[in-house]
Amino acid sequence: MTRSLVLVALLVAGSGAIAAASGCSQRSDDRATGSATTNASTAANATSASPSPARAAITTAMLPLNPSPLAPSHLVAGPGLDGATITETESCAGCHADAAAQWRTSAHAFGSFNNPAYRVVVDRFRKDVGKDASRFCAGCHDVALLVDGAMAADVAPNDGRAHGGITCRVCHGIDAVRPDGNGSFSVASTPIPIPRDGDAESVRLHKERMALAPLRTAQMCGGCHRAFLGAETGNVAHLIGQDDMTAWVRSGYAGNGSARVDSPFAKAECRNCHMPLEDAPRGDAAAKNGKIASHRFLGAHTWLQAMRGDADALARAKEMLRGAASIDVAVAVHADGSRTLPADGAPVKPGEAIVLDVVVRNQRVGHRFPGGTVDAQDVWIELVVRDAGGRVLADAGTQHDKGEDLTAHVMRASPVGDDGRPLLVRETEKFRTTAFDHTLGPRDAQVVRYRFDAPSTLTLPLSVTARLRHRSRNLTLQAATCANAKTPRGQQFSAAVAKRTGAPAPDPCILQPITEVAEATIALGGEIPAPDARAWQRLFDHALGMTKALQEQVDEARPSLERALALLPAAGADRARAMVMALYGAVAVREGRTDEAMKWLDGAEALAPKHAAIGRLRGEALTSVWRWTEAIAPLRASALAAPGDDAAWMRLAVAYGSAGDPAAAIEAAQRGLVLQPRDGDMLRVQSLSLDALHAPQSETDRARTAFLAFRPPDDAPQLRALCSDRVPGCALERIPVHVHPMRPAR
Amino acid sequence: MRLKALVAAAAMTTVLAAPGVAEAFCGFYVSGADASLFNDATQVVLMREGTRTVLTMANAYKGPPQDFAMVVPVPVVLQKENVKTLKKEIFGRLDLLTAPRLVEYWEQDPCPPPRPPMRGNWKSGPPPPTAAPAGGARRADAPSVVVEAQFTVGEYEIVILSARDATGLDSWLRTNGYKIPAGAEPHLRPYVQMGMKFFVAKVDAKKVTFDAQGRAALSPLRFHYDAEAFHLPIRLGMINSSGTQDLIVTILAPSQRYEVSNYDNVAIPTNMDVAEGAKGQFGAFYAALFDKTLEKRPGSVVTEYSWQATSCDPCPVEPLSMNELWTLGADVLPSTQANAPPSQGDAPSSPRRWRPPPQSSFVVTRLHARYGKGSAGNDLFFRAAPPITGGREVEGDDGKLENGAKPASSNNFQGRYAVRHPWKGRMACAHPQRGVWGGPPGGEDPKPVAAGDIAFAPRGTLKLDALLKGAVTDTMLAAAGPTPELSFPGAPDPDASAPFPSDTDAGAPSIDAGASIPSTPPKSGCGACTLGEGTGNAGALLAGFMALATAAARRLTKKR
Repeated sequence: MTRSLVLVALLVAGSGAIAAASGCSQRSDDRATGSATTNASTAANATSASPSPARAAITTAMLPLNPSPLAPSHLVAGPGLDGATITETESCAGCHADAAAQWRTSAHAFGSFNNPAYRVVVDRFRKDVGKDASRFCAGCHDVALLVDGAMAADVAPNDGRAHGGITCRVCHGIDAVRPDGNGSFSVASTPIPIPRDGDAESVRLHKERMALAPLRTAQMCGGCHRAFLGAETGNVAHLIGQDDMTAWVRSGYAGNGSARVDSPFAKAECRNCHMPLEDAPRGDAAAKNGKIASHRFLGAHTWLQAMRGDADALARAKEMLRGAASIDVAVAVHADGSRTLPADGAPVKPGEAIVLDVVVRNQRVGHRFPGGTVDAQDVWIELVVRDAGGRVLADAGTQHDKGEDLTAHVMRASPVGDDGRPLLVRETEKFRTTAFDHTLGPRDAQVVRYRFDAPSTLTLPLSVTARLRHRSRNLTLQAATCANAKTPRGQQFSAAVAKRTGAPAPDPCILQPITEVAEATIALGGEIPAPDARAWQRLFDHALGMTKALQEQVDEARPSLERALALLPAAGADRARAMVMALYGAVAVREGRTDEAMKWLDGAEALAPKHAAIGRLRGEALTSVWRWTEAIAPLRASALAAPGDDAAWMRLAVAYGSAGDPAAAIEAAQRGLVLQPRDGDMLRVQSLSLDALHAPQSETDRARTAFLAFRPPDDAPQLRALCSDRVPGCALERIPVHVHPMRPAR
Repeated sequence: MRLKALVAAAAMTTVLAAPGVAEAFCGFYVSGADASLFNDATQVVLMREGTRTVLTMANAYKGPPQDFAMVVPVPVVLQKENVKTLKKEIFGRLDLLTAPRLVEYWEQDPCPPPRPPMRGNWKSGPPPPTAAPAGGARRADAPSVVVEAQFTVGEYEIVILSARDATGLDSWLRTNGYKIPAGAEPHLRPYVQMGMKFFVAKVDAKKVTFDAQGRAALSPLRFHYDAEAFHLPIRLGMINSSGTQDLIVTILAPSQRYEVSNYDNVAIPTNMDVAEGAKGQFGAFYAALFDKTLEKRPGSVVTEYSWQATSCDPCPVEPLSMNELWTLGADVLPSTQANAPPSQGDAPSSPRRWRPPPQSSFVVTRLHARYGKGSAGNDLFFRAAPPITGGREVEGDDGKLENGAKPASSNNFQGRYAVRHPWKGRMACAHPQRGVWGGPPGGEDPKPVAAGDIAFAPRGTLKLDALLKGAVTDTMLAAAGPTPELSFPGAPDPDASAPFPSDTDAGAPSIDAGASIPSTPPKSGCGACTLGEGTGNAGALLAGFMALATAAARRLTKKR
């Protein structure tokens, strides 16, 4: 993709933008999870029903647009909306003291230049890429500056708009949301009716204005918690950035459980976790039964809370993190190839090399774990083997808390630049592709292997302790932030923050807090305990992680699955059995064993009828051997069962296209594009389908231009290869399930 | 490729009847003429480490002696530095090294002066490795033009089309004077829908030597890419050969044997004694044995060889040198790349660097599939497999030569067939020692004969029974068992706890029938918390771990 291509795409698309922005393209389908940024007629045509070849074929392209005059941000400000109004929060606090007090401790309140970690990144971006381009950042971080056009100029430390963060009037003013991201919402500028005591109508009008339709939706959060890069942000090619929304919308938390057959869990939206009900001791006017939805927007912002010196907020953040993911030493693979499943009590011989499979599972995070800016996260695994006397025999990752520990497995994504080298300090305009991503999707699992070389003399039993530890940001980014805070500008901002908040200035140089997310200990070389009720689940989690392995390693999921099945009780475990069987099916799919996959899925389906994941796996089993026509029915069933999952529609669109049904293909593709407007696969299918349907040339040209603008860059594989070639450890990290050697005792 | 153009071109004629196109391995030939183009046999060499796959293919073309092109869908846009042509000789050597071989043994004097029995080892080990060339850094230019790269090498003019161009594949080919006939579109369409790229190798007919049958062996083409998937897209190549087609896939990987996961695997019956008459027609003999094996286990992929790449016993040719491994892809493996001279900013002795796999660690696996005209088989999916042994002049515990493929701690399996010359001289001792086999009385070791050009071996005329000594054919073929799979001994019967799938589906998949997979999943499992005694097969698994872990261990010594 070139910069000019993107510009062409935006120019061509421009005519449809206003209609979309004004809400004309709102979907009427109640299965939809977002509104379309597209020309309205096409959106309605594409999304009002499931793909049906009997209907007239779509011959218009659905195009990703940016309706905002504040581009690259997608934010659309109401007429006359100004920064001073947005920044003003005291009038809200007058009646909503609890909400305001909570918000003042939140990352939203420190989302602008008043946050040293953000400031160091945005200041550098503005210097290197340009002030106009920095509107991309401002749409979510600096709305007050943005709407005043102040991002085009220097931002002074004493400018109140630079300290606003994401204020009451931003979230409570959003009257339309689009699925794009990068601030893809509209903020109303209509006056806020002021409620008067005893005047029910004034209260109603106030509530009506302050609780607009998008307010309690996940899609509103997605307006900013989905980001993408492109030519307008200084990047060579389109690239997905931080994106909590997509992970959530494809998950069972959003009701779209096509990822896997899983243990039952409740649906949850952003606010269920990040805005739980909380006591309102200050008498907040919005309180019901003495509680309000928390405006702390709790997340894993432990560094921010620590640098602010807010012990209470830090404790809350740490509490939220604990148990978010689990860790387990699930399987031991012995030198002779035998396995201990689960690993508890695995025999170990002096001098033996044994591989310990550690499994991390995202237990309750509705997006990726860690989430947000996944390139800057710093979650890692520590593993320690001790003998019976407590002497450490080997360890891995235990020095990462002090700096980079080369034995540590770090759960983060690694974007690389032109030279294939990882970028650690959020130089987003240099991001070209992601070399590897060790973060975990909702309910997903990851296997990390450790090689332990047992010493020649052993005092048994040994203990193996695995810990999952969290630090908010990597130390490289912290060092850059700390250095910036010591500059004159940094110090001026610190002083301004202190003055405005009445609290000590945030100190980004403090030692970052580390949170113990999870811990597990097993014994080796002792008695083998009888498997407990959780044993099958541990092995299921291990197998789930192994399904992400290189294709030639996937077979190693099978013994865990067999053992898990064997451990399940004969009765009363239908769901668990369905989980294992479906996962067996997934293994067979990856191995190209279609018939075997179908048999396992038949079994799973009998126990978990009409599950979206089973349809997906059936479809994938068939498409892997190019039985496209047969694949359509299960893929369609899966998409209908998980209608908010854009990937489900993508799979269906490719199947229809491959089966030679372009009319159905474009319909499915446009269903998905409503949810994910810049998906390269669906834009490609749309373009090919319009060609096949002999659509008007203007449409085929527009569709083709959009595909070219947003397709994955062709040189991404080469850049990843450069990382492997040039960066020590990169080739190893790019192997999904790889072996970390443990450090022997010194 | 613009589908509307392809759809418009679609007619009632079938691919098989269509002129101007023929299927080669994982691609197809096109020409400007309304002529039939065929691919008879394909050899593929894969090298694999981590996510890196190096693919080299050698195709045989049969058609009119005029310019044509080979079009191959590839998962990524290949850069110029990703593509090489190799000399045909290396394929010839690899073929000979891994092909089933015929050896001759002479029974040694049953009454000799005492000496240890001779057991193979006719050849000494490989020469010491030569210095390997350093892998160079690759550029990372962004694609921005219609033709990503275009260069001439050997008989090929390579054109790499970016995704932008791939969507116009047919128009590009037509513009360049080639034809995609009607009927090809359904086979190409999914590649386009999935966003695959296309690699076009235009062949200058003047640089190719055609034999009397119009057949030309093309220079091997090598390219590499990274992918978590490891499979071979052979579908296009299966559709339109001139008849039955042989596909020989040789996989080279550090410490790892491979097999297919979506077809049955069978090890060729080996260690058979054959009549001396087989000497002059060994290719035909082996082809008959191979066909008979497939007849017994239809649709299987046959493992013909699995051995350390740098040794052999007996050796039809010298084993592979490090230079040859380099040529076949070791130069671009992560472990060797990471040990290339450091570029600016790298710590020269960074502990994160991988150690290059030792030359001796490479395992060469030879897989052989044969499928019929018009078959619609599936791509080959590969999986790691445990080491096997078999086909050596080694006696088992029962005092008999090992038979079939057995699990082992290292890979030493080959298809080996012997002409034995019993001792005919006088035996002037009280306790003659019979059955000691070695070289001829004259002392000159005859070179083993490799079954080369199996695809073109005469078929249907040779009576296998007449050449097999000591047993009827069916008995011999009983040795053609499945190759040992990655197994986890001590496993409970999965059917005891789960009714799906059952092991009772006996029907083996058939490439010809278009069926896809064996119905029985690999045996695995674990009955107790600690699982059985190792069979040695998972030793390979651990060996793989060790290779990675050893490499990664270097990270421990110094921080980046």
